[in-house]
Amino acid sequence: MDNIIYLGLTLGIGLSTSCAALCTPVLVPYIASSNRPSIMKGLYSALIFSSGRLISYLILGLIFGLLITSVEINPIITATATAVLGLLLTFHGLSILGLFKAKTALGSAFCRYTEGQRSLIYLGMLTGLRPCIPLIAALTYSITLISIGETITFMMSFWLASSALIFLIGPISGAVLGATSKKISLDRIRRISSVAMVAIGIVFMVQGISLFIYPI
Amino acid sequence: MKPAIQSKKLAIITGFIVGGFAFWWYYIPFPPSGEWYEFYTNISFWLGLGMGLAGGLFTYFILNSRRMERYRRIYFISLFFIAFTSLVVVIADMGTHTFLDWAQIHDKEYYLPGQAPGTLTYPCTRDVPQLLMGRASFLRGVGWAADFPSTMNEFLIMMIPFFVTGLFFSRGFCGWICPFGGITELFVTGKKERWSLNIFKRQTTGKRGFRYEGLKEWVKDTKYGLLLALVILSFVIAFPLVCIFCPVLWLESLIVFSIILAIILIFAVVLPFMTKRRWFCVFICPVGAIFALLNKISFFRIKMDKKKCIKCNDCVQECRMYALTPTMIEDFKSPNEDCIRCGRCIEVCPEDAMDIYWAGTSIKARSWFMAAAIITALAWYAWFIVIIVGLPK
Repeated sequence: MDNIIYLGLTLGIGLSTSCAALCTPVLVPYIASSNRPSIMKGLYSALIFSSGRLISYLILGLIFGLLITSVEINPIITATATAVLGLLLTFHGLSILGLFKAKTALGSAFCRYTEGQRSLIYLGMLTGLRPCIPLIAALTYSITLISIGETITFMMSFWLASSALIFLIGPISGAVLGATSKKISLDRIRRISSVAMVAIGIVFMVQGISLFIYPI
Repeated sequence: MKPAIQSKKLAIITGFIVGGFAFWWYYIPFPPSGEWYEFYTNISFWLGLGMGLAGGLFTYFILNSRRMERYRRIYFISLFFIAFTSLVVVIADMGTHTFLDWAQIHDKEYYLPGQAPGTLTYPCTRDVPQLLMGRASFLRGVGWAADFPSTMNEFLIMMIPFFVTGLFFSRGFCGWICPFGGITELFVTGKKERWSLNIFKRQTTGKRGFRYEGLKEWVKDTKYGLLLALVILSFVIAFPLVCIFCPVLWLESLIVFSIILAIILIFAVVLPFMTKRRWFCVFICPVGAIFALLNKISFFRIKMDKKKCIKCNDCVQECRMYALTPTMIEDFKSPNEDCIRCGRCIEVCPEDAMDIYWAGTSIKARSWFMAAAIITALAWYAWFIVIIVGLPK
């Protein structure tokens, strides 16, 4: 078991920069759009976001480890996850900008599903479903594991190590944005980060649609 | 409006300096070698002479003119056409299919599979500083070849001169150097705005009814949001920020191209035509957002002379960037960070109250600013011009 934890941690640490590259565009605008960003809020958001990724990793690890003998993520899943991630980011950004009023049925629905920390878990889960080099490497290894316990241990240690940079980026972003908010009004930071969130969301949506048309 | 330099002798000297620089830039720094040697040896003197004459004469005319903004507009739109023509020339030379194939791989592999290095090029601005530093891996085919894929050194070599330009001019870049701004400027025509678009404006109610107070905050902040998105996304896809305006990047995918085309049509064609304002630059442009952030430390500012201003608000009406409001005029404030130093307000002011000054001083700097902007444009556009002249041989 120690060997599995060690392997998971090594793989996760080694590939954590790649993980951070994929997660930063989703996490940082989210932290920026929160009320009074701070180190603690950044860390908290990073933890919630990473929990979402952990859920995805565990589900994928169990499926691949126990049921499937080769790593082959269906391109439709990747395309859907990417497009939905983009859609969720876009709606979240638009709702912060006040373009969805809670008075309408549509507005209430969007606000219910995109406000609060729940949406951060969804974002984490969807980010976890996007195939990246670390994930594919981890899934490849999980195929060799024979029990549920080993798979869960391996995926959790992999998640912990691959999230190391995200746990750093979260608080640092919170601190930087908190310091910035003393010079620039919080409303302005929220507005700018919401626009960024919408733009990144649109990029992901385009990427998702492209994956539907030209699957990898 | 008074000319920037009222003495003809001084205007001639400045024109001579700018022309001399253009001659040196287009002739001396490019020691030809390889298969293009003979061709370039034959044309480099004439290219230098032509660019020197064009740069020098234009500088003389604009410095000595009472219609500075009109000359600037013609020059600025010409810059766009130069950039556009170079793209057309490259596509024609390579063939559309080959060009599109290349566009899809160029950021990973500069040359098409099986193609000899140096036989293909595009006027990529990242090569200009390379050239300046004598690092250009010279022109084995046509133009100067870049080292692709880009490295951190390439990135810095590209971005440092870009930021120096921004530091010096701030959004003056958008009014005098930007290769894309000309398309927006082209459609800013007519005497009156056709749409007022009050929905995007802040208005207060006073004794005389509604009063315009500039654009709403979210409209001004959108470009900063797009800049933030671009910076964050560059963690994933590393590329210099200015590449966002590269047509080769746009042609990488049909979906991306369609979205960018729609944005250009709405914000660089329709809205400028209907409102007489540069909406793309005010609302969308992330590169302009960087320059706006550098406004506080830039060298040149537009200021008004309190003694001369009669508060007619002509400058507010004519500002292409919504950078002035009646309240700012009443409080004798300078235009906001979106001011592109185009000189429109200087030209329409009936009392000559507006002018370009050295930042933090009361020393007028319009002539310095214009000469520096023309020199910088001549330097950055070397690629486009060399491609237009050299490629269809």
